[in-house]
Amino acid sequence: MSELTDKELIEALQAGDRAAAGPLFDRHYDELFAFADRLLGDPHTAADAVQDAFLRLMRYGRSFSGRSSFRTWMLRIVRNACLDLIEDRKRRRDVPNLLPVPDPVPPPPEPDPRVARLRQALEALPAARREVLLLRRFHGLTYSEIGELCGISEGAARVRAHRALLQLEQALSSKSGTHHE
Amino acid sequence: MSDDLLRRRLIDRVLGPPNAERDRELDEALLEHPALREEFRRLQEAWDALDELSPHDPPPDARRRALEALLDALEARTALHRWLIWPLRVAAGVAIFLVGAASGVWISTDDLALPTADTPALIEGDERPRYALLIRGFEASGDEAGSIEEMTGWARELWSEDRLVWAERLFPEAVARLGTGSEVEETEPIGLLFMIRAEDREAAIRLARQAPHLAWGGSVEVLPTSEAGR
Repeated sequence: MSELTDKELIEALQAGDRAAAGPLFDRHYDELFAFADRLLGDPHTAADAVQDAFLRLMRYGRSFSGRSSFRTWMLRIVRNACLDLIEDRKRRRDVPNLLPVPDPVPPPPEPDPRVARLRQALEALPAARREVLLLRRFHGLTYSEIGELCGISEGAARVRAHRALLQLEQALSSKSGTHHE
Repeated sequence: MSDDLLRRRLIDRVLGPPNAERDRELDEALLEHPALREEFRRLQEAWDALDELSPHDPPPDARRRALEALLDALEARTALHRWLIWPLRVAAGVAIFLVGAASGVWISTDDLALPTADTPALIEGDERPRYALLIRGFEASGDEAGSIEEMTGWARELWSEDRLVWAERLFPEAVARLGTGSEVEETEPIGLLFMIRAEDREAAIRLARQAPHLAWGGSVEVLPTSEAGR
């Protein structure tokens, strides 16, 4: 199984072959989790998003044409799952709690203050900018791939990356007291 | 070169990939302008700082649980196919044969199409409000035939749950926008228009969230009709 391509593995999975699931997980789980974790800033929610994405793979796997790489395609599904979770969070905040709801498990505290500051600055970016920056920095995608993944044009992906970097730089400079206009 | 263009190129350089000609011009500008050098240093630092952002470890067992959930879903689907889909297909085939034989005309699978605005699915006494779902970008998966199959499958699910009143495909031809101040015609890919019944707006949104094409970047607009506004 491990010698099969991603497309062949998905076809096998769609045909009901359980053995195809393991190699797909081995190849892609870690990167998909890292993307979701950086995007959401919370490993528990990120794990939920990736699990949801693999379930969506079962449902929509037939629509994978192989035109883009499976990796990019799955990143898009994880990204959509993350955005749904962000939307859910917002909605829950907007709705007054009539019954006590247990707090979600908080992410582990960040021991390094520099990293904590970086996480805070990144989380302050709008999700649409944050995702573009992360896809560019950690997943090495081109603007064209990012545009396809986010449903925007290549030019719009580039503009978002520019704005995200500027905003991140300003946030880090202001936190360290070296902000310049 | 304007300041604005210089700045954009500076950011492009930080974000990569390298471009020899652009970088040579930038190097000259950086030598001339100390403020630009300072800005470059700060942007590069912010970009490099991201390296420190290693992801958290996944929660214990998260990976195993995800794999098990996938295998459970696979098992459930296989069982459904085994016990439900084939008998249904056989039953549908027999029904088509019988109706075709009785009417003296063979009925193609096209005649098993979804309800349309001309032939809506009406349920007597059903007073649930109607919502229009404007579905865009369903073809964006890059596999149009596969996308249509997925969307048709979803429409059939809605139909079988007595949700779908009718469905129409909207063709990507010139769209006339009237009454918006300037009357224009533009070509844009549209998609599908579903009329559904739902208990309330939240229920309509919940149904819309199940649209398969959302997974590959499409969108759905949920539009209440006058019945929903009562």
